[in-house]
Amino acid sequence: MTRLETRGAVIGYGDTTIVHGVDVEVPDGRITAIVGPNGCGKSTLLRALVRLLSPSQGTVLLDGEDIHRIPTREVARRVGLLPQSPIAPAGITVKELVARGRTPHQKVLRPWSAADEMAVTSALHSTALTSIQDAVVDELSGGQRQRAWIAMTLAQDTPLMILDEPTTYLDIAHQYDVMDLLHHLNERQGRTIIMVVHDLHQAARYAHHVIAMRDGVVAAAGDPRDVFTEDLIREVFALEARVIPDPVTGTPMVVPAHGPGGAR
Amino acid sequence: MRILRIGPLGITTHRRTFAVGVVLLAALAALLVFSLMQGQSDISILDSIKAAVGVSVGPPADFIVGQVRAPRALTAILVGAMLGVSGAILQSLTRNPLASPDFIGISMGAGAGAVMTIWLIGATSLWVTAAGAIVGALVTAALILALSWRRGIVPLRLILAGIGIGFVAQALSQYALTRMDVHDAGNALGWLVGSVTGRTWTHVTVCAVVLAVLLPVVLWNARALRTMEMGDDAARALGIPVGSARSILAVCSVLLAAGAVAVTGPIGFIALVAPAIALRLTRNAGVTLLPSALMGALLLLASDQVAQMMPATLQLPVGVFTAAVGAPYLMWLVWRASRGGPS
Repeated sequence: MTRLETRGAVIGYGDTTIVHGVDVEVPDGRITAIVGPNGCGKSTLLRALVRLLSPSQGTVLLDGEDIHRIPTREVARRVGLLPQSPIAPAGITVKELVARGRTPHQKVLRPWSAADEMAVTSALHSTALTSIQDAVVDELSGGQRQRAWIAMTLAQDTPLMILDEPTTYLDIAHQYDVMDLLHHLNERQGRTIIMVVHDLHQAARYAHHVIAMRDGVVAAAGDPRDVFTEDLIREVFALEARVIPDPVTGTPMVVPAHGPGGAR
Repeated sequence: MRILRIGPLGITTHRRTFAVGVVLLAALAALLVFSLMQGQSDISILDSIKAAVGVSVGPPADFIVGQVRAPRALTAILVGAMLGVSGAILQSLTRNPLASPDFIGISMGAGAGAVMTIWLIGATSLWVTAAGAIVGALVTAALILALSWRRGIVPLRLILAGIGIGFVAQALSQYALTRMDVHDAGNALGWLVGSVTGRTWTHVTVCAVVLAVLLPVVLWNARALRTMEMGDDAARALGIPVGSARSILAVCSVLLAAGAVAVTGPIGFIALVAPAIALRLTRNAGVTLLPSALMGALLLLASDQVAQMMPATLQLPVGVFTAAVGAPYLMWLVWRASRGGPS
């Protein structure tokens, strides 16, 4: 089952093509991680999935319909996005920020509804931000700030959530904090999550489905146990590595095959 | 922050914003009455208000208040509001507190348009001059956009291009002045200083029409404006049609500035300062349009009052006065920015 897929999507900026005709299916109700080296087109693909970019050829289908034929607001009710570097307006509080997630559900002359209030309360609760909902976002720690943004995306109340490198700039504890949160949202609320991540270990632990990209094409897609092989890491990242089971979860763990200074 | 909801219209606002709005409105009303009474003839409060709204109380109030003071004060209020909203939109769109129509060349472009109209058509009608100013502002805005466009608006380029184009527009105005008939040049020059002196009910009507058309459009797009402050991607992901919303808002901002310039000539700094003060007073996160309008109105009316109260030898046009007040604010802003603090 998939609600979001691409068919032969060629995506780029202006004359530069970055993604060369990919077919991607996002499995419903699962966590999908898109991985790949810098510049492989993973963020570009992500942007096309949420309609920030339009493919020059091929299509992106949301619920079987060309996403570019669906009105912006309607897309925003089905797919939420946490961009890589969103800007928090100066002085905004956590609750105000989260409330902005309700934007696609609001109209100019329609009052703030009970449903809006409920969505915001529940988003604050799910992200453990209720106690600091009146704090100013600029003054939070990096991890809390990222949780606030995720809460905003949650309040948008979309069945599909897309996150562009949600753990970048966070320390290791906060990275796992965010990953655990996404896991819970997927488990308990059944949300489909699509994320770009750099850390293969996190991708292997938390994702049910991995899409590995290289040079604008999909090199492999599937269960992390099938995708993360020594051959694939060599092919995609040009890195000699050993893949061993994670001592805690048993998921694949990628370890470079050379010690310090002993490269290649 | 506590939220206030106003009835069936579905307008929500912070209590603090609402309170600031009420206080500004009250201050504006008080200052308006004061300005109607201020001057050499003694006219009572009641007579002033009656004469201003067109109820005859006999001479001299009918003329002095009804035809001189009231249109002057109302012009100041409406133009101030137009500048306040125009600046608030630009500052929000560019996420830069330095962006205001008088800084990025829009006002100069409008001025050049009006002066050229006076020169080429010999226009004496306010409506024709206003049309010239609007065309000048739109052409300037288009040029600035063309020069700063790199796959989207780059705020810093926009401001630099605007400053450059502003100088070109100014040079154009000055060239036109040297070529004009002396009488026309005198008119144009007087207008270029920026003043609300001698404004009539026609001026008030022009302002009222511009505001009545544009303000509803701006307010209709207020949520889009606020959401776009979070970045284009975030705004699009929240269902805002960023491209069209931004175009509509930018055009409204340019037209508001052009209308203001057409009526009073270029009056500097109101559009720069009013939104910043409104933001600080309301402590809103992000643009606050109506308080910016009220703040602009209050600032311009107050500036004009102070200018009028100067001794006769020091009578200054209000444009000179707002510049004297605004320049230190600008320096403070630059000083803050150079220290890397939040701006």
